[in-house]
Amino acid sequence: MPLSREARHAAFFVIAVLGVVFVAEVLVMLLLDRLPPLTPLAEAILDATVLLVFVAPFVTYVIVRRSHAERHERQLEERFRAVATSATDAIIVADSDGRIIMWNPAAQKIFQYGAREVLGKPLTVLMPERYRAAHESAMARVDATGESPLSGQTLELEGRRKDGSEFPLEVSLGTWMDGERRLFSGIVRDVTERRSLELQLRRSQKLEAVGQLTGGIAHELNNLLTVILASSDLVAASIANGGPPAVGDLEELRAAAKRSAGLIRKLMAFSRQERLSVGAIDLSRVVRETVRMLRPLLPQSITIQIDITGDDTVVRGDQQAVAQILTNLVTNARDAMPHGGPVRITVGHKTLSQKLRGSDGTEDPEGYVALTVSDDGPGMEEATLERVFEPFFTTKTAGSGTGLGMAVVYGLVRQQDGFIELESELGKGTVVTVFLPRAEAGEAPLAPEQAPAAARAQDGGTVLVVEDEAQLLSVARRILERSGYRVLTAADGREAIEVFNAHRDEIDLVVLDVVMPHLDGVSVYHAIRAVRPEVRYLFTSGYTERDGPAAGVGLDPELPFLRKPWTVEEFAAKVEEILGPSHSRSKTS
Amino acid sequence: MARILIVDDDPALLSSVSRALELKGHEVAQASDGRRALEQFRAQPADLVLTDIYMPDVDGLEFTRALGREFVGAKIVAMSGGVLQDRDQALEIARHMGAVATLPKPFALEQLYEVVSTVLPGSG
Repeated sequence: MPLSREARHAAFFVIAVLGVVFVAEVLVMLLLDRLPPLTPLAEAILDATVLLVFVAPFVTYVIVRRSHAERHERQLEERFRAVATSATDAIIVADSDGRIIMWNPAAQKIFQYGAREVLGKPLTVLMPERYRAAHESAMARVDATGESPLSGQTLELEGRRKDGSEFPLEVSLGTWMDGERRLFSGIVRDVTERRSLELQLRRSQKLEAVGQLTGGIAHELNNLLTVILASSDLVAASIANGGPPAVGDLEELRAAAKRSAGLIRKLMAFSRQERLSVGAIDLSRVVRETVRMLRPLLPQSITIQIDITGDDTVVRGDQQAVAQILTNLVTNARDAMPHGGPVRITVGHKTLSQKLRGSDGTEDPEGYVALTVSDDGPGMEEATLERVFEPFFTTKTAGSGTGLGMAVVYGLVRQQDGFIELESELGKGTVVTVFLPRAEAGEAPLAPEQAPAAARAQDGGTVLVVEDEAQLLSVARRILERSGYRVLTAADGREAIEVFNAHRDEIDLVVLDVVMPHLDGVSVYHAIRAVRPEVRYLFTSGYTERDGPAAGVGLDPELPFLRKPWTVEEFAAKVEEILGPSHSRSKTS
Repeated sequence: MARILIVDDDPALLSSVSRALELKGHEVAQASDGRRALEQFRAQPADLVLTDIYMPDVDGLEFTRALGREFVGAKIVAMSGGVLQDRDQALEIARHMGAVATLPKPFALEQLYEVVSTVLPGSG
C-alpha cells in the first residue's frame, strides 16, 4: 500500500532522528570508556540528557504537527466566516433542540436581531405564530426517525422580524451530523422586493378601470395577431415553395379573425357606457323574461328556481344590462355544475352591507333590491374569489371561457350604481348577489312595449340571419342589404341568442338555419318567441321541412320555410313576402 | 433539431407556433398551463421551453421559477402580449426569474426563428 506524503515525511523524520541519536550515543559511549568512572550524580545527569535527546524530537514533532493542524483548521474557519459575513443571504445554524448556534450579519439585517440577542434562542422566534406547531412537530419527527424530508428543499414562507412584522422569504434547508450532534442549517433570502414586483404585475391585471381592461384585451388580441401572423407566414411560405397553401393554416387564420371579432363584441358589451339607458324597470319581470330566454341554453339536468319576494321590485337600471348580468351569472352556475343541479334565483329586498358601501358610503343601505343567483357547485377558494372580477381570469379549461364574464357583470353593475357581492366556500356552492338601486317612489316601470326602441331601420326593418355556413351568411347579408334591410348576423344558435339579447327591440325577422352546432334553430326560435312573440321567422334547411332533424324537434309546419339551396330571387322574395317590401328597395335588385 | 416545449393557454397559438417550429424540423411538445408543462418536462425534458406568462392555474412566472429551480440551466423563453408597459414589465420579471430570452407578442415567424437559433445555436 503506498504511503501518503505526510506519512513518508514522518517516517523519514523518525529514521533521521533515530540515526542521529544512535551516532550520538555511540560517540558518548566511546568517550565514556576513556574517562574515569563517573560519580552517581554525573551518571544520573548523563542518563537524563540521553533520554531527553532521544525523546525531545518526538515531542517536538507532535507539537509542531498539532499547531499546524490547528492553523489549518483556523484558516478554514476564517474562510467560512468570511463567506458567512459577506453573504447577502442569512445563514443560520441550529442544534438538535432547535436553538440558534450560528447567525451571520445578513441574518441580522434580515431579521433585525443582533447575534447576542438571538444565539441560544429557539428558531421559532424567527417565524410567525402559525408556523410554530408545524415546525416543532417536524423537529420532533427528525429527532425520532432521523429522517428530515425537508432537508435539501427550498421553501417559500413568511418570516417574522424582531419588530413583529412579517415578510416573504425563501429558505433552503439542510441537516448534517457533527459528531454525535445533529445540526440544522437554513439559508434564508428576503424576497420582499421580488414579491412586490410580482404583486405589482398582478395588480395591473386587476379590474379598477377600463384602462386596465385594455391590458387583458390587448393580451388576447396580441395572441390572435400572433396566430394570424404565423398562419399567413406559413401560407406565404408554401406558396413561395410552389405548393398550394395548407388549408389548415387558412382555417386558423379565419378562426383567429373570427375570435377577434367575438372579443370586440364582448368588449363592446363591457364598455357600452353611453349606450346604457337607465330607467325604472321591474326587476322581477326582466328576470322572468330572461330566464325564459336562457332555458334552451341549459341542459335538462339544470333546474331553475325563481323566488320573488315582495311586490316592489322596481329598480333603476338598464333592461338589457340586467339581462346580460343574469345570463352571465346563470351560465357560470351551469358551468359550475357539469352534472346538473339547481340554480336558484331570488329577487327581493336585502340590506346593503357596510363592507360593500365602504366606510364613507352615503348610500341608504335599505335602498336596494337584490338579485341573487346561487348554485350547488364546488364553490371557490379564497384565492379564486379574490381574482374573480379580473378580466381574463378564468378557472375554465382553455378555450371554453374567455374569463370576461364576471368582469362584464362587475362593469355593468357599477354602471347602474349597483353593488355586487360574492359568497363562496369550497364544497358549499356560490352565491352572487347584485344590488340595484330601488326606483324613486312614483317612478313607474316602462311597459315592455314602451321600451325605447333603438335605431330601428327607417325602411325595411332589421333582419337577424343565423347561419353556420360562412359563405351563405355573407350572401344572405348582401342580398338583404341591397334590398334595404338592416342586417345582423350570427354564426350559431348561441351567438344568435347573444345578438338578440343586445338588440332585442330592434329585430323584426330572424332567418334561422334549422341545423346548427351548439343550439339548433328550433331552440333559438322557442327562446326568442318566449320574449318577443311578435318577431317573425324564416327557417332554412338543406332538409325538407317534413323530414330531417327539423321534424323531430317540433318545427311548426305553418312557419315560413325555405329549402336550401335557394337562389337570390327566392330568398329576396321570401323575405319580402314576410316583411313587406322595403321602401328604399333598389330598382336594380 | 431540438425538442421544444410550448406552453400557452391559447390552443390556436399553440397550434400555429407548433406548426411553424415543426416545419423547421424541431420536435414539438405542447402544454396548456404551467402545471402540465412542469409534469411534461419532468417526464421528458426539452432543449427549449417557450412559455406564455398569463395562464390559468400555474402562470408563466411561477412555472419559470419552478422549472429553473428544479432543472438548473433549463432554457426558457417567455412570451407575452398585453399593453406595452404591462407586457414589458411582465417580460422583465420573467427574465429576472430565469428566462434566457423574451418574445413580445405579437411576433412574426422570423422573430421566433431568430430567438430559437440564438438560444439554441446550431439547432437549425
